Amino acid sequence: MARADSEARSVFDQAAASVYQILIIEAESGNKSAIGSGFQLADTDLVATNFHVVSDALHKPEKYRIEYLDTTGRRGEAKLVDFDVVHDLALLRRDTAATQGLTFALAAINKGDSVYSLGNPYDLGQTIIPGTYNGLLERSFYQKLLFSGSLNPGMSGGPALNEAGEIIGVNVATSGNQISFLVPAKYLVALKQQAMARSIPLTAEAYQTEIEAQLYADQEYKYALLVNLDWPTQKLGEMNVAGEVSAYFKCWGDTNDDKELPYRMTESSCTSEDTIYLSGSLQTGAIDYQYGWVTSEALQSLRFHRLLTDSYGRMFTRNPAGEEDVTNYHCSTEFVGADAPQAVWRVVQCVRQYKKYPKLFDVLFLGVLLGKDRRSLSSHFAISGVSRENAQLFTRKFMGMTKWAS
Amino acid sequence: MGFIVEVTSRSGRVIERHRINGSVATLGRAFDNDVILSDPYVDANHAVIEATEQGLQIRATRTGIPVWIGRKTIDETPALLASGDSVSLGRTHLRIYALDHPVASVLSFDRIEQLFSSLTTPSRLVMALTGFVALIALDTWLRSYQTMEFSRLVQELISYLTMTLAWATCWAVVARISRGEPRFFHHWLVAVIAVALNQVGEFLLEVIAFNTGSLTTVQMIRYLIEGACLAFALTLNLRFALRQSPVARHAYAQGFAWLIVGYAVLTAWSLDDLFLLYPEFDATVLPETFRVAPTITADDFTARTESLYSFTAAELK
Repeated sequence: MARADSEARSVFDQAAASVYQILIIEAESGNKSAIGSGFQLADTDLVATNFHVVSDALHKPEKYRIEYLDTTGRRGEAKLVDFDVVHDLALLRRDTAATQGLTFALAAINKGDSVYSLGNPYDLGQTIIPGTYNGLLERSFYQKLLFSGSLNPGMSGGPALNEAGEIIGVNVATSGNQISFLVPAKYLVALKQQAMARSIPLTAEAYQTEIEAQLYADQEYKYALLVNLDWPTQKLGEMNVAGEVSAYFKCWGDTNDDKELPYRMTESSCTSEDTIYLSGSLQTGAIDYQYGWVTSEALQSLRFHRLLTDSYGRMFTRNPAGEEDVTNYHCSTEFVGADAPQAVWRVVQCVRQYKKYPKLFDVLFLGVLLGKDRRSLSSHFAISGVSRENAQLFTRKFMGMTKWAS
Repeated sequence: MGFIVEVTSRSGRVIERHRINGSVATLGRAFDNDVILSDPYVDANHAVIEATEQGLQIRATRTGIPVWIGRKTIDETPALLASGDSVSLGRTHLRIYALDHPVASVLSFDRIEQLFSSLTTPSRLVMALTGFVALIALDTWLRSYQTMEFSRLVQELISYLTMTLAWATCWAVVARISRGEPRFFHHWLVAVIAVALNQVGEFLLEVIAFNTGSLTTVQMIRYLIEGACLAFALTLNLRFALRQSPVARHAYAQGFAWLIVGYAVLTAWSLDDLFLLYPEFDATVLPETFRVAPTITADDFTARTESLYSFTAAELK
């Protein structure tokens, strides 16, 4: 314990001067509207932080500006240089040159190694949090490091360091109870190289185009992976449906066992945990799909279909979006032949477009199987931030997955 | 020569009518009067009405026993009356008419009147009520998929009955004032038929919703059905309550019903650009036998849904 304490002190002494508080200042009141942390990269004038810390200043540069505050109490303005929206990273440049800076760890980190996270939680002042590295988060499209330590609001964008005080990651999120996540340092290295390689610096006018390009490339990568995978099937009632498409999805199931109810409903619901933060009102990137198998012997046919109407009309997309972000949905309803004897799907598909990123859409699909007396399957997916081509490929793949089993 | 003396209640309902064939009529409690009134506030020989060259005249027999014409009192000086004027002696209300006073034209007793007269017999009213309750019970049952709750059915029944009874009461009051006959059950039956038609319309709407999935289409057709049901009820209610020409009746009923529908359509239309977090589609599912729309293949489906991805510049603003 004593050793860990002294190590924490030495890491802190060595790194503290390179860690800043990042403040988002609202122009009119001159007060801060959001806070986070950031850190100086050695041998450059660049400051790393999270994209979500500076997103307000990116979207509304006329309303917000970015400032940094170092341990000596010096405060100055910082400019956004580059960002990686998918991995939630941003690079800033401070107004005066820095003498300090943190370097990247060269050696690989192993499960159980000590990790020290620095930042400024709740605006309380510079803090060091010792914890343990617990491996890569495997069930995610985007690699993240699992850090068993308590990150708190305000620490976002701060560095996570090894015992030598070298960068292994960037603080990004927490699920509470000592479960916290770090962005691996390799993405920051890549972003630094991207920023250095730019012949023309990124300007405020080009931010939205850059975000769109990053989101587009990311969904191209993700959906190429998904559509080309062989989706495993599983039996639900008398149908075969898609199981856990890949390790990036988590599936949950439930059956109502209430004997009082005149019907039985079994639900299977899968979600990918990967969402991309764009602004306070817009997140994207989620992929959800659900199935529901309903049967009844007690209900008369019209009443059974009333039950379907109610359970099936409730589904919609999970990702939040505001009026300035997306259009209203376009919907269409069709009856599509089903891969089951005497059965037909009633399918509703709805699409909305991103106003600032017109290559991207949110797409919703609802199918309900008809013609099997009082047995029915409802299938549903909601995908966000996807191109038209990928949405159509995904839809075809999804529709082809449900087949009558017996 | 001659005139009519009507004894009415304070609200104007006729109690007695006297036809006076001579040119003079005396009024009072004494038995030697032409019109004998049994009101303790009326004098034994209270007033005299006379048909003269100038018209009908009234005067009191002596001072101290006033005769009221409207809010004015008169005594022994004769006052002129117009045909149809109201007069009060003591607490008795009278109306005086010349013999040639015009009466309203005959009301037609046509097929609709005959139909409703035959439908509003007690036994048929009981049948109508039973049918109505059965329809609501069936509707409530079809709309639920949990174990049927008796309290919910009772609640539905009470709300529908209160609604139709209140509607009928309003019209009966109007009819009572305007034509002197309330015909409550006529009005109630009209309301019940309109509600029942609307229920049948709702089921038709579900079939349309199931086949098209378009909320807007369904909403517009719903307005049409509701407007038609309201116009139907208003036409019949007006016919039973007020004395009007058929043209005026149809103009009022259709005009009012479609004005309300027009307002609803305009409101819906003005909300059309509103930003919604959720998609607007109709999730109504019915058994496959109700499907009219054709089936397409999955390939056709993706080809058709291509158009969903086209947004106008206005939508992207």
